Amino acid sequence: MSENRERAYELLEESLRLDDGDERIAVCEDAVREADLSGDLQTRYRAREHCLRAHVFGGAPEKGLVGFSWLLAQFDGNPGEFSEWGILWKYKWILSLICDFPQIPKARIYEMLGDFETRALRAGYGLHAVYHYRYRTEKFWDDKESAREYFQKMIELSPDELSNCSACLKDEMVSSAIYFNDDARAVELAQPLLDGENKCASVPHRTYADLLLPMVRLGRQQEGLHYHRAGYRLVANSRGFFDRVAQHLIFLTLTENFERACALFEKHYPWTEHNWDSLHLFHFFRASWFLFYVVSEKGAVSHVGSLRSFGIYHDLDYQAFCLASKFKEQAEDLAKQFDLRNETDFFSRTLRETPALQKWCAPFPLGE
Amino acid sequence: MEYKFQVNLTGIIDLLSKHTYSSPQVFIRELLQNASDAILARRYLEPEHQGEMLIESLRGEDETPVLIFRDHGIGLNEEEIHLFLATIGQTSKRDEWFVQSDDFIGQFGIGLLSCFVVSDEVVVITRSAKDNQKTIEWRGRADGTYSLTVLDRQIEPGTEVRLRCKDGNEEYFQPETVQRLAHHYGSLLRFPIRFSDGNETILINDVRPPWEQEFLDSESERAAFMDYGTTLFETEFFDYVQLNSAIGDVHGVAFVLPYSPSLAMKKTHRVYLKNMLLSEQTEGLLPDWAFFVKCVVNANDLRPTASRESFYEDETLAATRAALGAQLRQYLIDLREHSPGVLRALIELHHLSFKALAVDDEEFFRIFMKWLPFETNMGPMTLTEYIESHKVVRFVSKLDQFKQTAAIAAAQSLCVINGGYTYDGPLIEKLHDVFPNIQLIHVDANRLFLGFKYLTLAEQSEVEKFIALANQVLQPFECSAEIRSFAPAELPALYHASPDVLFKRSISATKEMVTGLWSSVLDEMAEGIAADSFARLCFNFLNPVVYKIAGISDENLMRHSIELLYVQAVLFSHRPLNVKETSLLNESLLGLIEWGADAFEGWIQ
Repeated sequence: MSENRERAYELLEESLRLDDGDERIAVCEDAVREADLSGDLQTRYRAREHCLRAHVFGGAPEKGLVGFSWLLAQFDGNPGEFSEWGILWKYKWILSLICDFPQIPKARIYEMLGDFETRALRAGYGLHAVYHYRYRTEKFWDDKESAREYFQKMIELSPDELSNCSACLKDEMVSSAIYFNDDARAVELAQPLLDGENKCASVPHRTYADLLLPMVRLGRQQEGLHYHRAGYRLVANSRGFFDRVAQHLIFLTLTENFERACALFEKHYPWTEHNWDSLHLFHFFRASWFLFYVVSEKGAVSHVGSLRSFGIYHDLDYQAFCLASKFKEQAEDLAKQFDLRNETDFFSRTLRETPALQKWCAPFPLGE
Repeated sequence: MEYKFQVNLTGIIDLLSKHTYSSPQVFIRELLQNASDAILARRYLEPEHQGEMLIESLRGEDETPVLIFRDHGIGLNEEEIHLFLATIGQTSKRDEWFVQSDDFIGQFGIGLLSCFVVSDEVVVITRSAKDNQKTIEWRGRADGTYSLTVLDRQIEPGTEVRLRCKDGNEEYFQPETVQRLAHHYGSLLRFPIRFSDGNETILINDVRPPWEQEFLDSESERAAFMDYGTTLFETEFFDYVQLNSAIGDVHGVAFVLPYSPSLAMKKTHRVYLKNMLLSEQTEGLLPDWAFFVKCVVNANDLRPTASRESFYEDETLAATRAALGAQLRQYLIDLREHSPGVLRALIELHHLSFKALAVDDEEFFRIFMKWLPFETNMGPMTLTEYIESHKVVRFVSKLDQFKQTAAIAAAQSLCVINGGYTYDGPLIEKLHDVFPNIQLIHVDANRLFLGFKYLTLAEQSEVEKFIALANQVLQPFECSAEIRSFAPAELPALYHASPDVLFKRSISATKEMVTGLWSSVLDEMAEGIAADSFARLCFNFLNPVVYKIAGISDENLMRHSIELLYVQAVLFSHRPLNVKETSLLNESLLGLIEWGADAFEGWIQ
């Protein structure tokens, strides 16, 4: 019906005026409902495209997966009707989040990468983006050798229209330098991004967060504090950056800004509810564990204040060591799921090595 | 032995025009900056020196447009000219150079580079104010060659830059354009900038910004500020707030937007650095909550990033941001006493900014929360209005839950606040912490169900068969059935699905059209959801139709009726039907029609 169609477009327009997050998701989902009632395929497709974006960037990747499979089915079922570049571009969003779900087997992920490769080649694109996502996947389960191989293949090719934007590509160079243990190079590579020469919806948001631990390892905490200040503002209100919030939490712990760390923890803990992104949960639980572990080791804060609406330990005081063991358990549980699927021990190893981070702890007060 | 690369200037200029100076008009900015630096440098030598700049627009012999920029700054001697040439090509960005050194000469060269983008030949005639120097002419060409001549005539100490329009750049040499751009970049510069087109000479920066002026009374001050905003941004602003921060040495004004900005909009401001326009798109100057204003400020002690669109995030910026934020916050608080009418109008326009600040600022929350508007199932109201008529504050935290619960709650005379909007949920949740006497109830459909009346044993036995059949019919739809008494009586049944169930529904609806790889992915995702998470269908015992159906003896008729009530309740909850439910709708409708036809036939006979 044309009324529903109009309403759908109105809602989509409304959604564009909102930041990524729950509200935008709700408005987009409404638009999808109206679009479905309109029965018009173009409108339904368009609404789901917007909704997919809202899901992926607003912290509801599980819904994004479902939405994408709908879009892809429509794309395949109606040849020539929808933009090929458009669906391939969204395919990359899915490839960048599919590993976050340990319930998806490794073989399925490789199948998906193969499918993407076939489609990209068929559409006349090069392999730059394909190698990029193959690299990221191998990096996810820490197969260093394969990761390096695909990384090398990627940088030997020129980016094309299917490649990520130049800000994202530069950011990838930064995070790969960190991954291949070259912190100093990462910081150097990041400068143009931090200077705002290239930017996009997620850069330098991710860049700042990724650099925090390297800055500590390089003994450049003071500059790290700037990165925290600048970077946290960019990620503080978007669930899509929950994993990055966790990096800030670890940094605040390492610089012994415990009060601020607890405040951040409190603000973001509700994001764990109804959260399907196991990777984000893993990072947040790990960071929370580390925070409360250090806090109770140092006797800095014995228990944590008003933790309202907590699903945990309703009747107990929130004692730091209780919280530490609770979050350790939750992180371990997720690590097991990941390692089982990944056939590596990367996640458990990361957890085992977490307490040792304490050796970097030193007071660098944030000030006002 | 160390060697130096021979840098090909033509290549560099070509690169520059395509990248760094993608807008050729920046040569005007660069020349103004050069003049400004030169005049400042001269004032170190001669503190009383006023200095000024003249821009002349004329035509060359062959009618080619020519521009001359003349300043009474420090000028250059021969040695310094060689020095600035050495810097050309080292870096193309003034800011980058600036970060490395405060060297004025080097910056001069960088500024000149941008001129080659619009002029094939750049002539610099200069005489240093230091000692008694000769006047020198430097003639540089885009191919990298240059000549240096000591002139016989002497000019006043200072520098003159002559540009001849390169083909295709005529629009940047038009007198009106040059005038406008010089004003655009340099209107705040503290030395006079004059422009001459051969006929008349005008002063370009004739008016100081209002924050540098003194006023006799507050009315003329207000008029001056508001006019300034209108001229600068072509917007009739709602109000203005003066901004001053000793840290960062920032002075300027924030104009209150006359409309509600969208949350996704970029919050950019017009910023001058040491009185030169830095950018009209500067971000990060104010705290995030302050998106109700558009600022124009001059900063003397902040460090811009290379993009010129933000500042380096350091302690100075953080402290500046805090100071400016505090002034905006104080403005809002002061309005409460001085102009409650303005405050009301401001809240109406910008309650989102108020809310964004109140979320993280308890004192502000304490003052303003009561006046902030919220959406309820009984229309919009402020928190004060809500509390006047309701003892406890009921709220829903998700937008789609609000839709599901609003009507039911209203039927039970419960007023519910929609906490699904970005700041509203967190604000409401904070209420009890700040005002312990306010009682909060988090409402969702499940909780509303709890308020529904259970049936008596006698009533239960009346509907026993009905509920048993309903559970059997709804089993394939992963839905359980129950019956209670609730208002409004017109509502036959309510459908409620938890987020998990809804997700499961969307998976199974999508699976109907997906095959192969993606079908497996959907299956694997669905495995994560507990198998027993069922939706709930709650029939209303008070509804006459439900009561009647529960009593009929024809099982087939009862079955079709249950199916239809189910489908209707799903639609009522704003959920689309999946394929299975659509065919259920068709079958049960047909079944009922058939039953009706049979009954009608029997009745005729």
